[in-house]
Amino acid sequence: MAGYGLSVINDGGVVSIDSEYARLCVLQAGRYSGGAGSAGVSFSPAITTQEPPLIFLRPDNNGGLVTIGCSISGAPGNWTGMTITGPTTYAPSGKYFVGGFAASATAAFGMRLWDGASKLLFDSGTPSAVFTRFSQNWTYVKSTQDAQGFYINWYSSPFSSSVDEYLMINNSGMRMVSGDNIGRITGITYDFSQSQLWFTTTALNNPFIFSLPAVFAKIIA
Amino acid sequence: MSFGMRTWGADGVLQFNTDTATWRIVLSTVVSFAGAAGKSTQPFSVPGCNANNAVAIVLPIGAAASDDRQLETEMTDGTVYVRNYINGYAGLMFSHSTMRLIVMRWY
Repeated sequence: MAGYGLSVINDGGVVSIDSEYARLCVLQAGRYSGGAGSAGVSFSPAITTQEPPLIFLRPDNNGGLVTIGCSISGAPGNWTGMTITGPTTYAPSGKYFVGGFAASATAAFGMRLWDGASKLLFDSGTPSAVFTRFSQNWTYVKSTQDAQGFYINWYSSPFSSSVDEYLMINNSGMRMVSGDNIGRITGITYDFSQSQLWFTTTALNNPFIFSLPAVFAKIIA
Repeated sequence: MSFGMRTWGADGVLQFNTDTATWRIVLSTVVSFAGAAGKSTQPFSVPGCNANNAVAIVLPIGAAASDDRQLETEMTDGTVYVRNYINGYAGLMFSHSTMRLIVMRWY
């Protein structure tokens, strides 16, 4: 820690919060629900970080397959909302929280913490997200072919039955490099009937090699 | 809890508890391969970070177009590599995208 400020050390002897580094804060949280293949959420107020907000999601258990993606609206410094997408046969619904590496001043009482450059690091109204687990990569399991001849690669990450654990889904929705010039279409599938969590890539020329971390977090302290 | 801090909301619900680990930001920067002429790699120094305590992610900046391609990251001891191609795959395709690299470490 610098010469002044605050540093809180827990029973494990590690720094949990301090006035030096921004933590992943829960900026907004709630439920999303929409119509065929799409659910929109407006950020209120708009999120003013330069970094795009991290979108963490936990879809509702429908007893079967839930395939989702996302896209963010707005621009650095003014992120206005997000859209949760899915197949047209599915109406996306579930819980979300939006995380960022800056607090916003919302609490009427509690504690606020700024760094030496006057950036708000902590506000008890936008508490830090809780780390649960991560992995450096998803694990390739299988490849299937759809009716149009596209290859779908299935990459697995351990499924959690806890409805309080959220998966970061920002990377689901933007295409990845493939072996052709179409790209790999990305998606996340919760298979509630089989208790499986999948990241899928779909392409005509679809290499098995894949590199994408899986990041999980929860809100509850 | 013997040491640490807790905060509660106006509704009496526990909001923050230092018994739980948090994600701390280590690095946040925009990475661009807009001028890439082929497959290339950009290294970023992240002292003290490794594959067990930190994760590197690249975020789309706004809505992605259908011809945008994601970059990929590799976390190694002290260095993050960002690539515009599929590492280990012989194909020739590569990305021209600009994405936000975030390295975060849990405590």
